[in-house]
Amino acid sequence: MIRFIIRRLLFGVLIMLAVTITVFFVTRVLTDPVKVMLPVGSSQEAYDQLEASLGLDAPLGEQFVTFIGDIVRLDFGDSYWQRLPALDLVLERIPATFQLVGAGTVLAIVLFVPLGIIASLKPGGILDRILVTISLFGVSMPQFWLGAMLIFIFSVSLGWLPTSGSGTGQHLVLPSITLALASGGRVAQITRSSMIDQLNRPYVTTLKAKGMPSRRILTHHVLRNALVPIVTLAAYEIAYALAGYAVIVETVFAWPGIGRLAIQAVTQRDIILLQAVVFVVASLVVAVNIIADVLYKAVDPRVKLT
Amino acid sequence: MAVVAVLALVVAACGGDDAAGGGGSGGGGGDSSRLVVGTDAEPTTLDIQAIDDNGLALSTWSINEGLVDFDAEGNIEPILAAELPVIDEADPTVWHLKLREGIEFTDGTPFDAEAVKYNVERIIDPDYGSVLAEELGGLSGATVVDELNVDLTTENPDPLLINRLRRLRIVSPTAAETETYGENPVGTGPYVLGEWTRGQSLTLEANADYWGDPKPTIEEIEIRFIPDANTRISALQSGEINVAVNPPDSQIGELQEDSALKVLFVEGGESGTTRFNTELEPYDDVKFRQALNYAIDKDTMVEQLFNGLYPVQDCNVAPPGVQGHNDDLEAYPYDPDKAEELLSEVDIPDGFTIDFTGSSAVYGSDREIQETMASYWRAVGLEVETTFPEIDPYLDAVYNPELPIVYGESDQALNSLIRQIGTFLERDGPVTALGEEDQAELDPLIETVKGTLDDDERDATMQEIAQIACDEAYFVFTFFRQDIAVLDADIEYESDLGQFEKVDWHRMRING
Repeated sequence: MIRFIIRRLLFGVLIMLAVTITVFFVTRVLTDPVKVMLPVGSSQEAYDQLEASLGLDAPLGEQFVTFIGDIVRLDFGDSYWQRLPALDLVLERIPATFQLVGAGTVLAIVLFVPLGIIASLKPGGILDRILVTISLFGVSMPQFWLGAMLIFIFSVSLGWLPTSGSGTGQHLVLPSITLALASGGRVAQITRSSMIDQLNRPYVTTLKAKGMPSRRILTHHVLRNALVPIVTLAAYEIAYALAGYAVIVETVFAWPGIGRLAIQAVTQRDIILLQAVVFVVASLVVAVNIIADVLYKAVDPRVKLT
Repeated sequence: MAVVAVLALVVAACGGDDAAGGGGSGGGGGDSSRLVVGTDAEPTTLDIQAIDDNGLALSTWSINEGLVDFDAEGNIEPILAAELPVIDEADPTVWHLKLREGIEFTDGTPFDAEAVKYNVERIIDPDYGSVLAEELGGLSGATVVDELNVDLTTENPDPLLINRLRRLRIVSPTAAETETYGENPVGTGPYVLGEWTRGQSLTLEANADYWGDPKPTIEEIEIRFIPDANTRISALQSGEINVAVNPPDSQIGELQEDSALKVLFVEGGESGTTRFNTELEPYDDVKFRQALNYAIDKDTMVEQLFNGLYPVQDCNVAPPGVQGHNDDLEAYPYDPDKAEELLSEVDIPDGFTIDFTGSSAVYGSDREIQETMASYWRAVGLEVETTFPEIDPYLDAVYNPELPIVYGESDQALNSLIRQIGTFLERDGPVTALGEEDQAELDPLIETVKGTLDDDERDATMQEIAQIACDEAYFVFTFFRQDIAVLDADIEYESDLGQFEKVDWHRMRING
């Protein structure tokens, strides 16, 4: 197991390096941060001056060497616009992002996995149909609309919860529900199909024939087997949300997460900040995937980790 | 409901570990000493001299003041200066500046000639890389004469230095030396920085020792960053904030009907500056350019796209109130017949297509505006091909004078037509695309505007240039885009020209 984790970590580092290098070249070749920073109508002289002070006038190869030397020490440089170390700016946003993604995922699992299980016990039944509809709703509803609707109902009309911002538990309620409804829909669907798949397996019939009570079959055998796809999906949802999918929720609710920072960096062509964001997000995604793999082993010891 | 109840319990249990608490509920409502403002753009730094960004002014304009500034009518008045600077009689590259006495920065540093010299040198320092270096044109240095007198020098004689000086907001030399100045700005203004929680909000606190008038009456201003326009308005409607900047166009009508709110339109906003390359055929024919202006129904366009909110451009690039605005000019009326008539008199090559360079997500509803313009031109029988580059390639296009026609909007940062003259009409200007004949006609006039020390002569000449730009249709005139803010009805404020963001918080009053 330890060897496995180390191998995966090394592989993860390789991936992050590849991602970082790709972003480096793409941003420097395809965009011009200097032009975006200057007011329209600026002179060539102003352009040259700014380009030099940002270090962008050096040949690409030279810039790359400097860059590699810096990131090995985790020095991403100072954000062009904010003039502060980029890595710190990104790390500042981590707690808020974790809160949102954490709350959203916990909600999605706590609410929708049980629903998926219950529905799978009687496929085609009333509960099942209700669940399928709710899942479809959650998956199809655009988050900006859903968020705006929740704000309208619970904040403006009823005045129960704040419209936006962060800082107290109250602020977390609506954004995490919005996030949870979308991923919850998928979680419910996967849970349901995975459960149905297991319930139709021969071993279930065998166990029933042997006289094992249904409940025991469920909790001791079926659930554990059904969990693998659910863990996969949960990991995927978390990674996806951390990687910036939560940006819509973050924007609608003015939640100070990484997604919004990424958008800001792209719009302003702040390639230093963007680099730091990509790096941090890539690390989180790699970490989540490693944890998911470890969980598989815990859930199903027969799984061979390579 | 059950879901919410469960959540409330779950979240209340784990809600205690929050870091910064920037988002408390409850705005000013009824409390005349506190104001909460919702804005879309967060500043990236609070160093007002570093960068030109959308979020900066709202927060820092009241922390750092200028030597001079515009009043509500657009006239320049001295603020930190005791009088408007005067140009030296013998040497027009030297300006004599007399400073107001007895002013201190909020960190105790005296405001004096040394401080002004520090500020001037800071912004022209290429290592510091201030975006103001360009805007302040040829400011080349400052010399201390005595404690309250300083001489400013320009590279070349620049009669418009006074207008440009408005952009130079003064920072404390002591504070500016520290590395974290961008997070701890210090100035002479009516407000000081309280706290800044990135991504959430920042607070301004009234400066009890403010030297000027009127004194600030609002003790604390919280500026909340709410990027989504609908959420901002919801926050206003639910009473969480008192002022919302940039409401969604579609909701303005509804907000105007709400008696608990008032909608503030700021005059002197951005103007349409879609420019032609007047060297290429058939763009070199004035009739062609005029036809493109007659073909567009500006009133309907503004009505459909912006609920009729913005004023139509009256054949002027400078909005009313801005120096250089010519009151005698009238907008090209919507007259497709006249447009077709003019086009028939122009020598248009077979298979000719207008290559219209638009933009994508650079200005509000820009694609819609450009597609509308193109469709009006097609309606009078022209072929049009429009491209919609995003910000990077769009800026490349703007700076490329070879392109026949490029969409644009230009702001009024200098409160004077000189800004657009310098950008679009002056020989070798960064965006100028005039043919030789047209340029030659403007050359002597532009020289007068830049060189004369006589304000009246400058004004008259600028208006003459405006007239020529109108008659010769050097631009496609569309509309003036105004800044809009929505406030609680009990707030009293008269905005300066230009941008709401350059707001004077100390002039704002909440009626209890």
